[in-house]
Amino acid sequence: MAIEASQSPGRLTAGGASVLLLLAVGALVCLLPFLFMASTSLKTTGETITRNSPIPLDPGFWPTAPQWGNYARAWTTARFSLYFRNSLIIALLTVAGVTASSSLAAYAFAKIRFVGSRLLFAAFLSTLMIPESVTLVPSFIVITRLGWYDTLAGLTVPFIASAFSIFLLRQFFAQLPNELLESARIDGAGHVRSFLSLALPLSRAPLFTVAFLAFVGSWNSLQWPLVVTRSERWRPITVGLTTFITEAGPQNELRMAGAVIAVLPVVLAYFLAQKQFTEAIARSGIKG
Amino acid sequence: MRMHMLVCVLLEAPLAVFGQSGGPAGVDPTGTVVSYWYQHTGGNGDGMQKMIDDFNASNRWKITVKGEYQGPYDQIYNKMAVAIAAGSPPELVVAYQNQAATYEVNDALTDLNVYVKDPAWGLGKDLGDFFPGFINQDVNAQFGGKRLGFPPNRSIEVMYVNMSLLKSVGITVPPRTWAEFALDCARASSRTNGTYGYALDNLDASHVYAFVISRGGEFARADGRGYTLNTPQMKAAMQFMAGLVKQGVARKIPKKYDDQTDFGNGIVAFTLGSTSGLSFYANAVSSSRNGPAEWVIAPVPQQAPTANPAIDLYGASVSIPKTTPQKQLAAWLFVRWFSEPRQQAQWAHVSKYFPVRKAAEPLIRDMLDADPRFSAAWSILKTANLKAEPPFAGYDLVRDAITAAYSRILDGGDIDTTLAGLQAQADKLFRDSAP
Repeated sequence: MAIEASQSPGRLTAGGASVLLLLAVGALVCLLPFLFMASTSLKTTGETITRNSPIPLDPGFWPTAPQWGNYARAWTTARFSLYFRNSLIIALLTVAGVTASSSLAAYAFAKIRFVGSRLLFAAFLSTLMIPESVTLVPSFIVITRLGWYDTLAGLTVPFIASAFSIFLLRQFFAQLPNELLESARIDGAGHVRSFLSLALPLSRAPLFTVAFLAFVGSWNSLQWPLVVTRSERWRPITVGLTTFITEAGPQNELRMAGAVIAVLPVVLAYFLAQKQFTEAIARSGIKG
Repeated sequence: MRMHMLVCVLLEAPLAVFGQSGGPAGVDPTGTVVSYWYQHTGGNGDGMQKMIDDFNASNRWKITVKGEYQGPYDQIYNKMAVAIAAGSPPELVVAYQNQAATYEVNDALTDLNVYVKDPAWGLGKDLGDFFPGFINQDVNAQFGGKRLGFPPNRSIEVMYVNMSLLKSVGITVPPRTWAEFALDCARASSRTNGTYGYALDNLDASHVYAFVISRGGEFARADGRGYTLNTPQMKAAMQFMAGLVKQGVARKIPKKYDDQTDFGNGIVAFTLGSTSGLSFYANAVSSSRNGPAEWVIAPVPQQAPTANPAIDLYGASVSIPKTTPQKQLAAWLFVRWFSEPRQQAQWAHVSKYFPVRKAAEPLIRDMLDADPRFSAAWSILKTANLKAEPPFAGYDLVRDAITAAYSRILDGGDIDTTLAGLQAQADKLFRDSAP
């Protein structure tokens, strides 16, 4: 596309500057809670009560002397090392399960004709409308009857199937040209080969999206882990954060230190996934 | 879905028979394992676990109690609803009185009167050593006087007083009556200095209860058949607080615990709160450059001077779900052991809660001598007319309604209309939540 005569590279127009300013303000607003979290994590208990201004320009926003020891206390007091490990294991197993099951199901719905496929897909989608609180008791009963109460299986297996992930991948697979798969069939490839050799490599971007969403959902989950665990053995980091809420008041400096520790893997996963998204699209075999 | 409605829906689902009623006569608890779900964390959690280990090592029936942290109160409430519906509750669980009432809507709890009064396993003469307000708080008129819980500890509502601010305006003692309180708030308030009289913390329904009982009123009928929220005492309390806000000597505190912040920064004369918050107030004051050099706790003001002020009781109890006679008895034996003066004193040292037995006082003498404010609170407790909020199923939703009505009135809403609406709403919630 030719560069218009009225614009030249490097020159910021008034309109562009306005947009940039607006975006900068929006970015600051989004960053502010994280900044508050980090700042509070470095305060003493008393400072979290008496110096809790929400405005960064106010001296009360910042600690008088950073309490780096809060991170060590949060790590040891709430057994964060154990909860962190548990969260990582649970999240990775959930991600592996969701991407495997969802991609297989999505490919079948998109590319394999079988009786009742539309009805079955609609049934899958309808489960998205059922609130988690409604399925809490029946799911708990099933888990306890299977002997999975307070086990890793109870924390991961119920989440290995995701209707949303199936929907997301199914929409992507549906866009894959049938000619591509037919040509593979002519070469002797069946559905399994086509899925593994063609569909999967082309679907890196949506697969990473599914993996990232599954990771975040699993990492942030609180209600289900609290319900299906009774000991510390497999409790995740979200449960660890609740231990800083005492009856007389929250230990906010430790809660925020714990929250910073808890959010770091999610932020890291986002940046890793973002890079893969870009690469996957750049390497895509689908040309215009 | 609101948590309370979720709980009611879950508990009203078809249930398998999961428990047995009946007393402890002829029951042998030897070797029984008891799961105890609690909310204690940090130092309290460690202290509770140590006491559980002591019980396990010393009890002659070889009962084993397994203490398990299950999250904060609301998470335990949620988890209990699921566990009861699935037929797998723990043998012992912490529960506020209204939460226990919700469980009992589905006949899920043991009536502890059977154990308290049992000739072999009961409390016997020790029953008289408990503070009457504490031991009676779990007797629920809504369920025909069943005892749905037992107190492991308690705290009370007190007034935190910034004496430095009061003395700077010539006031030397905390107010004993609401009339004195209003005058002191006005004198302590200064636009120039940025100070004010009273911080209305989060419009907490418990504070509203304190206002009402201090005027001789109540929130509920004594026969357990409903709420009494549109009363002369409630109206007087609302008028009084609305007046203070209108004068500018009381401020609404939208964010929880910001009243502690203002107190710590020395800009407010009075706040109301639980004695369990003493250490937080101490932290707030010590960390602030402008914190009050002198601060005390005092009884909540009353309508008229009295030696026995009406004081709001705080604290969850422990309840024993219906399981098997052996497990129920084993859980009770742990509860009974925990209520003994030695254990009560030990728990008071760990948690800074009050013991529920008068005989524990000599064993906490060191705490009383070391902390004058804790000692003052203990003195208030011993002379107070202890009152408790309604233990009805669904009371958590009524508390929300009270806070909303309180806020509306402080914003200028008509008091009579608002209280009439509040009463109607509470009546409906009572009917919807009742057994």
